[in-house]
Amino acid sequence: MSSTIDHDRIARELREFSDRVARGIAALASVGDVTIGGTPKDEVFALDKLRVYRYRPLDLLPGVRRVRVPVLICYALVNRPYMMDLQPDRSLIRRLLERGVDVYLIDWGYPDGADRYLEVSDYVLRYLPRCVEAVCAASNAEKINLLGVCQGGTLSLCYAALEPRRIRNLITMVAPVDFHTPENLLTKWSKHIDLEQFAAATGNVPGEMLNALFLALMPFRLMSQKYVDLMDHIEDLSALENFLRMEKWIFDSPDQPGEMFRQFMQWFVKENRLALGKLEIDGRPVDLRRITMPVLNVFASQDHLVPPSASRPLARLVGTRDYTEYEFRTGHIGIYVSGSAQREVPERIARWLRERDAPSRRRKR
Amino acid sequence: MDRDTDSGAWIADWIAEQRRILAEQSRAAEARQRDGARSFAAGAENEGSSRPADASAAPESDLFNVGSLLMSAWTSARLWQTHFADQFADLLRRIPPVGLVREHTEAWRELAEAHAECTRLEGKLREELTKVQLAALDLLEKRVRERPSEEPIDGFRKLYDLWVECGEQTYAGLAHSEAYSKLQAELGNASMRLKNRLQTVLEHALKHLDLPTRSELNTLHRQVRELRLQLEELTSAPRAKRPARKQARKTPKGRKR
Repeated sequence: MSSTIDHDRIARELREFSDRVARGIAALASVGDVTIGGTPKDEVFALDKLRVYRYRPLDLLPGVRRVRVPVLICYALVNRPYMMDLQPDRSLIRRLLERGVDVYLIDWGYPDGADRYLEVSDYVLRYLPRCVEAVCAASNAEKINLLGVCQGGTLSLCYAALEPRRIRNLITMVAPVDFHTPENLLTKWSKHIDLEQFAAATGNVPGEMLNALFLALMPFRLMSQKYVDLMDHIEDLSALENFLRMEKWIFDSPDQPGEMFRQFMQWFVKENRLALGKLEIDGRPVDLRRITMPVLNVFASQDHLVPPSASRPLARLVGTRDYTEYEFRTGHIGIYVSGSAQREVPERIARWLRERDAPSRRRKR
Repeated sequence: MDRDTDSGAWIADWIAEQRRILAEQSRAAEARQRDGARSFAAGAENEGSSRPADASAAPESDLFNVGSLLMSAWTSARLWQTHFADQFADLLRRIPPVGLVREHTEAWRELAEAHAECTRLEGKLREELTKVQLAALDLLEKRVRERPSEEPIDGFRKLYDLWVECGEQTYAGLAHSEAYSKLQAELGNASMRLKNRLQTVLEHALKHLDLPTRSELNTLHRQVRELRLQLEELTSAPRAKRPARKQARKTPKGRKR
């Protein structure tokens, strides 16, 4: 064995680490509550627990032309959508606004016991169409751009296939389409789960339970190393606040409506119906070939939750002739918040939209 | 690992220490599991006889265990006693319940069985995870040995990061296997079964107190949902003829429909 030992050095290292932990505890005690998001927005639509917000326009970057067709962001149900607007310097929404994109966002809220019988059809055929109508009305547009994120991307694909007339351009971001690729660990784990019993026992599926599952994907890194690494910059207030914001987002997980969860897991994850062309919602077949509007598929090459192999098959499933793939070298979360993603991803999305922008036809009054 | 040279000794010591800790934890977990299952089963049997019992009955306290361990002279007698108690509890479980409290007893027995199954699978999963940790240490040892001399591990932090890497690598091998997926699902299913059985017992008690139960609430939620959908269907037909813009305006800002 070739390691050289320096007892003094190791003793010093341990002493320094303990000192850092002590200082870290003091720093954590003094940091207080962290603020999330903050980009000004107004509620334009409310239905049950969901809200649709419009973000107020910001000053444009020099030389930027506005995108006329608004964008509606459809986020996943699993986490809160403020990941898209975590803080001023880590905000995909803010970067889009600076590039002239008119941004709307669906906040699904926190489902409770009264929502346990909500189904996939409620989200795809009741909620999403009304959100789209609300954005059309608020922006006086005939069609809108839909940006579906993660599970929200999968739901957006279903909606776009069933109701394509309202969508001008479709963007999917780290959205799973084919759930049966070899890298998909969550699919493997769910294979033998008795979903009927699961939904009956839990009612709504607790967010904490899903979080535990996500942590179990990489337990050494996510339950240990992450916190040891924190000690490296514990005295940097800004870095500490960033960390705490991220922690809040990760563990601020709404419960999942039980029946919606059961159907999603059974139909999409276990049976892979969407990719196999066998999905029906309320008796209506979801045929992705009906997606003929331009599609931009954004995914992260190091995503351990939605591996690229789960997103890529979209290329061969949609009916559009204008399909663009954009792979970015980061992970599932990094694509919204990492420094390089902040510089590149919103710019790419805004440019792609601008190239496919059209005069917004005024709707008949 | 080369322990003769001073250079690798501290890493070898650290790995040996981790192995010792894992072995100790494993033994302690097994003991907890055994005691927990036994006291739960005893609680269930008490309940079956219409005597109040604490469903979450805790195992004997550590202090008590230490005391009984110190009484080494009694160890073999105690083991025999434990074995006899287990057998007797098992015998009781096999006798079909009869009489006025038949349904109640059966519900408690099912709960006890679900708890035992859950505990058994928890132990099995813990065993697998312990194996991962041991294999991670083996891999760490190998990686340290094969490391080029110009890249020495000269601090705990480097060793820790390498351990994490080895841990994730070993765990990924297990996590992607069919056997592990099955075991994890079995445990998930067993804990849901336990939750269901617990709910049955609790609802029985709530009914006695004339308090609402989750099942009743579910019925109401389902009915409300069906009524809402019917109402939407009835009201959406004429509204669909109006221009969409007016439709959206009908939803006042910030107000629920």
